[in-house]
Amino acid sequence: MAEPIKIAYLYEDLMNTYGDSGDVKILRYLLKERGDATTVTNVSLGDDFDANDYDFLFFGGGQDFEQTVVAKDLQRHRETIKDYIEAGKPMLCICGGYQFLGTYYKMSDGTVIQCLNILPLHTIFKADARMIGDTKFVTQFGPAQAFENHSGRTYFDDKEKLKPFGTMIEGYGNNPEDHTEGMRYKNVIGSYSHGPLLKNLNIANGIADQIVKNHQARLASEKNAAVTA
Amino acid sequence: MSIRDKFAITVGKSAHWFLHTFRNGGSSFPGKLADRLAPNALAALGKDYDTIIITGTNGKTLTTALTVKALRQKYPDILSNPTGSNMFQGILTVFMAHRHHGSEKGLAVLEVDEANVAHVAAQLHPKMFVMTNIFRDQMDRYGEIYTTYDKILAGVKLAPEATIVANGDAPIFNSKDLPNPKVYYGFNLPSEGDTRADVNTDGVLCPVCDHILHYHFNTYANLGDYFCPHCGFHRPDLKYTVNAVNTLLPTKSQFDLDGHPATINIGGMYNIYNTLAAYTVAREFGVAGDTIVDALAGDETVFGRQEVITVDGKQVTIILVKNPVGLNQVLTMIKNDPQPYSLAVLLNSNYADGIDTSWIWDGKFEDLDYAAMPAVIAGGHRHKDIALRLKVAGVADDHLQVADNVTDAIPLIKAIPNDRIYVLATYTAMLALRKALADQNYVTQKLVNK
Repeated sequence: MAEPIKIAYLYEDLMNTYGDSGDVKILRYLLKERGDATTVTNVSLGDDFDANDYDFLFFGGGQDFEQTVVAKDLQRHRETIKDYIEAGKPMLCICGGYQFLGTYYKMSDGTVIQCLNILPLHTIFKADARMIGDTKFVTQFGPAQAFENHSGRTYFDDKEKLKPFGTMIEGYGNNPEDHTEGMRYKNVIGSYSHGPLLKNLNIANGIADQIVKNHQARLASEKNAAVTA
Repeated sequence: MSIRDKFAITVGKSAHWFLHTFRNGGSSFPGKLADRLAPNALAALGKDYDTIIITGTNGKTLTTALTVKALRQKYPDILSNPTGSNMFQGILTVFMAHRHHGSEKGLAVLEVDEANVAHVAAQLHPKMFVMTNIFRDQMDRYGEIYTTYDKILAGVKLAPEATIVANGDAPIFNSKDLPNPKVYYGFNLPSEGDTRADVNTDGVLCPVCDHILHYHFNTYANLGDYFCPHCGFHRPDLKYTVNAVNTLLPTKSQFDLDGHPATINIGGMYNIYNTLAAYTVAREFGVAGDTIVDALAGDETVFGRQEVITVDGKQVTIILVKNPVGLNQVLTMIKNDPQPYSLAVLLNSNYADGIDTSWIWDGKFEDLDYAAMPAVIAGGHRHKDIALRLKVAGVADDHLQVADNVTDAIPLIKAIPNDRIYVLATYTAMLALRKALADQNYVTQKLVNK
């Protein structure tokens, strides 16, 4: 019996606002078509978490209040998420989950929320200029269509290290100035795309490939560890 | 009433009469006109009425209809607004069209859009606010649930004497300290121990200490007998309760309503909440429990946002869907249908539907058994989105029929191999379907309740 692919859904019960659970549903559907079973674990407030136990991390967006609560609890997992990302393992972060990878976000009332400080990016909220509507952009996996609904404007602080996930054709993406959508670093994708993003099956299949590869690598290393022990 | 108000109301009434007589219906135009001429016209018209404002994400329309039905047992002169007229100018139009009888004050029972509560309350000084629930809803228009609640509270703060009748099972209605007298209603079911809401539910954080709420029982979404295991925050005392649900079919619900056996000819747990809300209002206005239950039951079918049209011998039940919680309630309701049925989902993305269709992914389409359905149809402007959603939920590729738009879905609906179909449709898809069927001379048994 093949071991199922393990997905960690970070704060699924709090960061689930804009239909992004669809990303996980679509990945599970594609993986099932390929013959792989999956499990999804909700990692919530106070839960223990070792990112390297999983084959894929998903982090969606939430409402402002929920995000301020998650921001505090999340700090406990900084090191394990950083290790996971640096090891080149796949992760998809949407909207609030994307913002959390950076150094901080500043809310419209001036409140600064400390984020994970794993990647060099930051976000500034402008409540009176929400970016909302259909989007079109081009990614490494090909063209994509989505929906954006955010007042946070995300900026890269190190444009050598971080690459845009997409180039905008229609809509805003990260901010009104850069004409880029989201961020790519190793196998981590950050994105403002709802819709959900992975209804673009070209992207979903690309990520599914990475997940399968990482799953096989994890099983192989666990096997090796068992043999040497 | 000032001369200016009188003039504005006369002009508005004339416009209403003209539109009503020579065009089809009154719309909100007369209200718009009167509002432009005299910004306090609603206050002038409203002084002859005690006003009840009914608001919340889901259930406004049916709660308002049932409340009117219950209150009629004691109050003959009731003004109410039809669905679709729940914003300020529509309400003003309704007041201009209504003739107040007698010297005593009349009752105005109004469904009010969440964002219009403050504007309406400022002029009508309501006696009561009824709050059904607040769920995520067309987030491109309404924003997050806390923002929506703040909009409602902006109106409540203008009437600190008004009684708040609120769903006690909704944690958000217990999150702010308000000076108003409060009456809570809710479910009083046997404890299921210590449970949590489904992971894909919003509004589950304790408003006091930010920990995740637990439940002794959870009726649906984030509603139920909640408590915080961390700080002890818990559901308030309930004055009126549903104590048991005995039958839950798509066309019939039987339950214990505050000690009375009650039957309504409509399905869905959410409609039991709506009935309980109406019961609560009527009791607070002095109508006897037995009288209310009799008035609400009747033999007549009560339609919420659903209607039945017979098309070439096939029973087509059209149900409006607009947000994930409402959608999940509809899916739960049709899952309980013991008879075979086909399913069509029609998804548009015009402004009135919500331009963001991602909420369909928060609906639990996975709960239905598609292999058992004679036909499954996906249609509307966004047929690609809903088709993928249904496939991911378990509809086999060769079992799914796709129509590019609502009109093209009609031949597929007529061709189902059985005789019953549920059509879940977003707002403009529902209107388009209804119009296309009317153009083909198919008659609705009954439109949305009035």
